[in-house]
Amino acid sequence: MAETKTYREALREAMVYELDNDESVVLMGEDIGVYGGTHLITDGLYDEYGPKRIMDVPISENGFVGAAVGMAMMGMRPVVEMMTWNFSFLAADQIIQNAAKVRYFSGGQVEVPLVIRGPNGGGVQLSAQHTHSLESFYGHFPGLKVVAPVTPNDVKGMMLTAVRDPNPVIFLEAGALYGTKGEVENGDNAVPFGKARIAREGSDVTLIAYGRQVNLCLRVADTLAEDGFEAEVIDLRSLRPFDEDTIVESVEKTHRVVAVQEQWRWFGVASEVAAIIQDRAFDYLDAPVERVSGAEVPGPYARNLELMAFPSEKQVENAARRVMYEEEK
Amino acid sequence: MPEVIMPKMGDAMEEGTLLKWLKSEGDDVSEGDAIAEIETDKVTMELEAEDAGTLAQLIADEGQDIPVGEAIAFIQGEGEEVPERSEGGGGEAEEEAEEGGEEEGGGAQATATEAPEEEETEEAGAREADGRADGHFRASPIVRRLAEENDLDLSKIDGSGPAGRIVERDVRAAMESGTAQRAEEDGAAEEVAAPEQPQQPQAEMQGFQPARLPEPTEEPGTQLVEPTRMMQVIGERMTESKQHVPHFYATVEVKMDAAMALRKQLNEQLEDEGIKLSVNDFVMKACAVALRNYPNLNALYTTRGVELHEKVDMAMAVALEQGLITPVIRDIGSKGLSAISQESKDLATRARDGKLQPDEYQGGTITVSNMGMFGIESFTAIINPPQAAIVAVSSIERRPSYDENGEVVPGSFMKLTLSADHRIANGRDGAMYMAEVKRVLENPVMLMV
Repeated sequence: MAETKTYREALREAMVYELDNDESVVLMGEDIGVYGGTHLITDGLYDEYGPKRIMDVPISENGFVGAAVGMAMMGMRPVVEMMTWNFSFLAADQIIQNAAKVRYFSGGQVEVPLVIRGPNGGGVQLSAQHTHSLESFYGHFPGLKVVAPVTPNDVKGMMLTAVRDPNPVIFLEAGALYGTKGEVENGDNAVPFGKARIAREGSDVTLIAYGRQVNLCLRVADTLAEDGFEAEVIDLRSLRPFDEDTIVESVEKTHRVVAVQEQWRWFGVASEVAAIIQDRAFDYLDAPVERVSGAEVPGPYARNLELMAFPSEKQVENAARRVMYEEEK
Repeated sequence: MPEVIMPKMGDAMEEGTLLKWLKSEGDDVSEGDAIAEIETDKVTMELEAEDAGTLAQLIADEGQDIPVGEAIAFIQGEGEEVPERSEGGGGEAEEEAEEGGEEEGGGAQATATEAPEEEETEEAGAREADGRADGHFRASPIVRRLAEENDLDLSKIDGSGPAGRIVERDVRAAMESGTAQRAEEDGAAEEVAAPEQPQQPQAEMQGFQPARLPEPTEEPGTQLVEPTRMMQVIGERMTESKQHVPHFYATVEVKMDAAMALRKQLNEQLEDEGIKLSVNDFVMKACAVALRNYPNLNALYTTRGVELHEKVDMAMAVALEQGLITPVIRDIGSKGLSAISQESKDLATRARDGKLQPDEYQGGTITVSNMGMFGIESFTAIINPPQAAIVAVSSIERRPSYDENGEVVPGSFMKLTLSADHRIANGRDGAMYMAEVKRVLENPVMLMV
């Protein structure tokens, strides 16, 4: 059974499912209780579960993330909301130095079953300090898991998996898409980490993305189909662990790849994708892997500039045409 | 340190499959120890160590296809070190190969020394796309792969990519039009170098152009079966034969009563020795006896003319679970029926077990294919190149017939159909030969002289 729900509702449903399922699960964050959350993800939960399970915290990211790490070490399962991932820089020390490393330091004796979640990326005119995509930043550190679901069904299923995971999970939500709708399976639809999703099958070129760029790639695939080119779209969704096999299998079929990311080009996920492909599917390539990334500038405020700073359908479409050795349009 | 290489076990062999390691890394091996089981397109056999020492490094994995001449393992003698597998280390690898070659004799040496060079050229090609010895061009990796798999000459393809890069669509177009097949000289040169081997027809598979094939429907109720190595080889050779050898056919009906009576009589006599002659033994012997006056049907079509053979080396088609193989009874004309019977049974049994040695199924001069056991009234066979002829043997049918007085009497009849290469023999030769086969079988004492 499945029902149509928004990304926001699906996300809330997963947390409710685990709140009901496991007493050690608590939600923490700024304004998530009485106010219902800045993005209304936790709307209504305070009334139902009370202040001990839905905890409002002070504006002190390093403090409350540190508290959550300690709670997790003691056996609780905190799910911490970052109002946006931009504020996590303040908590980076707790996340990187403690959450990611306690299990290692303790020789596996102490686990940190912690989820930190919140909207990632830009696109809604929040300007330079509030426009970051932090997947490669957190994906860089061993000890952290990093996921970035884009469909309502995946955001629910991956949140279930995240809460149950014994390790700290960086849960990057498509903030611009909280209101988008999709079919969501009822009940326990846990989606495993480390498995990419083929969002559309095709044979001529593979478009690889995650987060809201997946939807952009699907639109590009429609455009290319009008000219008779069948693009395969892969939604990575789990960035660490990473599903190499699915992209390698796709390249063996299509021979051409465009990797798309909202973040800046340097040291990005798309670079990692390109490296894996040249390593494992070199003999199948018909063209160099193209990367389409954000412009190398701090996120602009002005709408026209902001649009230019993110990957556009046109850019992705033309990159696909280039790897197919077709005329750009 | 000696390399263990994938041996070349037949002219047409280009690669073999490593089925199973029989020894593990670190095991001590003596000369002659079986170290692995390998499979060619024809047989499964054990690969023996040619040196003593420690099996230092297993390079190939089980199930992997390995080109002839490539190393699959190293045998480490006392005090030797395992070489690094950095493939560019040409000097050392070549020395190694030559060493192996001396021990194996001339034939294998050619293989062993050629392989590393080839590998090096390829490597160089992959490193700098535009700097190959055989012409300057750029090509994408998938293009190089397709060229290798389909034996294409990239210098004959124009690249449509940036800076003239050859891209996949260029190769696909060339494959469809057939314009980039590798030249035939290479194949011919190899054949001249090994004159004592029966000649494969020139450029065995290179003329072979598959028709444009449909994609599988993948509908429910269908199943996709990938062709085995043997199916591919049979397919290629038979296509080659049917496309390039002008077949003609001649059928005779043989009255088999006398041969059957003789067979019954002989089998009663031979029972104690455990020998039971089959009808096919009689037919093979008759085909051989009849060839005495028709040498151009016991011949091979070679690069420099038709080679007539005095001795008859008769290949017999043996059906296997997944294909067929044609082991050879050497000089069958000089052998008696009981010897032929024993040898054919032995070859057929070992053929089905996949235990034939390469020299047991290579180099026939004519082939007999028998489908009599399946109740076949008559059929035509495809010539097994480079041979001139093949005889198809059908079932014996018992039915009413007229004797010399015009009375209706029961008789046993069998149809034999010759397929012959019209470049070598004409209709008259074929017809007279088949009439002779018929005469011999109907007067089976002829088999004794």
